[in-house]
Amino acid sequence: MSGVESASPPAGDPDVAKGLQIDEDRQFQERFWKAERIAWICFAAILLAALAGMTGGGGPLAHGSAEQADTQVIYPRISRWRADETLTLVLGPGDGLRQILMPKKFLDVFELESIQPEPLGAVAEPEGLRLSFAATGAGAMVRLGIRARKAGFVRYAITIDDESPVRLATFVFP
Amino acid sequence: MESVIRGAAIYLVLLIIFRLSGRRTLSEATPFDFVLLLIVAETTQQALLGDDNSLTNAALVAITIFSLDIAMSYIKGGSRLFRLMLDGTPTVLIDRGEPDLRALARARVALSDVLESARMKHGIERPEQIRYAVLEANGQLSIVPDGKSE
Repeated sequence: MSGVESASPPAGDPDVAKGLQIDEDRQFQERFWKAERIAWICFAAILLAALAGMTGGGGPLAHGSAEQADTQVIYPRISRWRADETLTLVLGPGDGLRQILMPKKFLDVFELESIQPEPLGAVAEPEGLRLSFAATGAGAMVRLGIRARKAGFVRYAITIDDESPVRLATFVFP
Repeated sequence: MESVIRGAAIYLVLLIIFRLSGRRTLSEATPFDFVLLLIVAETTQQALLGDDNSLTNAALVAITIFSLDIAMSYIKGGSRLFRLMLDGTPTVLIDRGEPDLRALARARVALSDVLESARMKHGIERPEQIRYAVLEANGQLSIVPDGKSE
């Protein structure tokens, strides 16, 4: 790494006077030591934020929950590029065929890796993908395994059974 | 495009983290430091290559990293500030037999480390026999025994 050697130390360098020819820059070193300590505090802050879930990959803040009518949606609030996540819909009371419309904006960012249970039907629509499931009773769960293929901030709204849509937002780290 | 961005991003992130964690961290390496180094390599490997295991990707990432390294060495040659930022500056820890306690503390070098180095390199027995001890920019300790210069 030594490549180009710098010019001889500046004239009047106190270290030359000491008898040791050395390119010491104590002033810079002092400032750098301070910067180092500040950086360590930042490292600690990043670790705490990560433990809290602010960088995705689990943690209390990484997932959010939203409710609309009787349906609860547990979704990743903070995710990472190409990381597996689960979006869970806890359906309210109702029997028979339930429909979930996954909007285009969502599908632009997330790949659907798995759908549990298998949908009875999937219809591609201009607004997105309409999935229909057979579900009985309150608390029936639909789990979508998703994976971000783009990084960035995305807002989307999931519509369940033609109720008003649940508005969600996810930040995907690169 | 992605390969180049990945390579550059990892290079810069590692450069910043290594530099800011202090040069004592991986110099004077103990066996555990080697293990740490392996872990760092292992954890960045995925981010570096992503899901793409193609020869093209590997070659591009390697070219990116080596090119950055070459570019850095040129920039360092041209700018003193940049060189200080990237390589640091040597720090005199013992000056004409006088230990600089502040420098030792800030650089996280114990006097016993200096003595160990002095023993290994010059067979020095006591701290008074050290004229200069310098923590070099590369993290090595150099010792100038008393009676050698002047």
